[in-house]
Amino acid sequence: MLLEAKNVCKTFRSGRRTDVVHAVRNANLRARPGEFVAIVGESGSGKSTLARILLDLIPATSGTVELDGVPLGSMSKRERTEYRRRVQAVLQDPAGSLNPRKRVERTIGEVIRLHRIATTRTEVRDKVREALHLVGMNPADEFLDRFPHELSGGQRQRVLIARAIALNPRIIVADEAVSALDASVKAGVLRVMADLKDRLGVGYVFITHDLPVVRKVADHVYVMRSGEIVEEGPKKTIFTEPAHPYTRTLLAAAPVLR
Amino acid sequence: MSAPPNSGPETPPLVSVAGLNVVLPTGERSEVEAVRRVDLVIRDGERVGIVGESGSGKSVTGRAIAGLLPTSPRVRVTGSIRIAGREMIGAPPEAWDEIRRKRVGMIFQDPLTYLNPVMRIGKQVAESIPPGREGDEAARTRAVHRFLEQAGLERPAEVAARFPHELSGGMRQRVLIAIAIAKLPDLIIADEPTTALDATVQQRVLKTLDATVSELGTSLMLISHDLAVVAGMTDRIYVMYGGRVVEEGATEQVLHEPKHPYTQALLRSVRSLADDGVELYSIPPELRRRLAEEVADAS
Repeated sequence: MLLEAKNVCKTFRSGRRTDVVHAVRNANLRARPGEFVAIVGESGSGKSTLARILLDLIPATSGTVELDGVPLGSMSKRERTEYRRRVQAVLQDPAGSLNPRKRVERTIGEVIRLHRIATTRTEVRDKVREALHLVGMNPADEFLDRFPHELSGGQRQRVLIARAIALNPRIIVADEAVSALDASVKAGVLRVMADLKDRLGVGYVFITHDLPVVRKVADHVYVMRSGEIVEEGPKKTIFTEPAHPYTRTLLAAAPVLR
Repeated sequence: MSAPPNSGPETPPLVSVAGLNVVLPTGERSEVEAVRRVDLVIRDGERVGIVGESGSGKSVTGRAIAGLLPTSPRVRVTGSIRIAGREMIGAPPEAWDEIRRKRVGMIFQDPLTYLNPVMRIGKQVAESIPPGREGDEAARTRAVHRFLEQAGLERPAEVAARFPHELSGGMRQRVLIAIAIAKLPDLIIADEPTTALDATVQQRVLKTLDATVSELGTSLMLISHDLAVVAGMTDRIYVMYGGRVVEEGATEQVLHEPKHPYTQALLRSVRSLADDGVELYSIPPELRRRLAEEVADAS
């Protein structure tokens, strides 16, 4: 399977009719299951807009997103639903992405039912347990009845990953999924993500401003600035021989503890 | 601890906190001991870091020293906070006003909640200058521009005429620095001052904070979850967990020869995120359980 963005552009009109913001300019990107692809950039670089386009949440102004060569626009309704199952989202703010009035079981169970992964009550519950188990929330039964506010930040982020993983996706688009977490919790969530990659062959499009994390987990890196992908390459090349001056600036700015 | 060269043994430290307890309400009938028996000293011109994870009590400690905890009968602050020798626990509100107006400046993570959205930047900085200190209106305006410039904002006159929403995140944070230094305070408490900023902006804002603090000889209390940020900016560190200070010492020493198991685990975890060929490490639940017991026993 190959997820591909081809010459994707996104413009937003801002304020007065004539002002146009080019959020994404001519972006080309490839992601595969089993591969950790990172998009790095600072605020306003267009990385989150590109993520939303990849997730089929907003349309591109021009260019296409293709799955195995089939553009989103020419997919049938069923293919499109299938696309949305195979490409899942994990977003930054777990508090905002989780309904505060739904318990963990319902949060995950609902999407399982929606995509008809399982239908009966016991089957759904088993799937929810399995997903929680996969993200290291053990014993799963202890978490089924909890509300989001009864979970820690790291646990909420794991529930979001569990909700995504419950649908057997091939690629997870994670937008600043670990940025707001404390170091220790961040390490834990990243380990879960790496583990899912190894065990289930899930691929990631990992969007972040956190370069040390990219250096730690990514296979391939795209660097974005002002809507443009200014540099792209295997992680090793990006970190040891950055070609673009902006990449060098970013690398120099990342705070690292000696 | 040896006395710093600029104050004799009889001069009290700028800030001296002893046995500080803060209890905060968390719901109708529940409460949490956010700070437990904390002892802390900040001397003249010293830079002190407070590090810890979310919920460690670091921000509450900072707010207690600035007198910014909510005034509710359900918020209970006990122990001792002495600022320049004066006991502030139980002190009247006017005494705290005096401290906040002249002695302590604060910089928060989110400048938008702190800045007045309908007041121009220049006026907000001017309000931070004690009345009568700079003389007439023109002198005050010049001072405002000087502080904005010192906080790293080019074209201060232009910035002064703007509203907060017209500035970028980095610029807003610089405005907070300007407001803080305009008091010519003895102490600046910076609580996660650059956490919300991009790395390149963070680096520049920290440099500015560093330079202004050195220039003015102000003491600094830097509160952050980010050890890398605190490492480069401070002389001494307090490590907090569950409302307690678990370790204190010279920054270099704490970072390279941590004594407490929590500090060791925290550093290992931070380094595991950055270093090649090391497995990602998170603080094991057993250690957290042990720490929780330790914290409960101590209070």
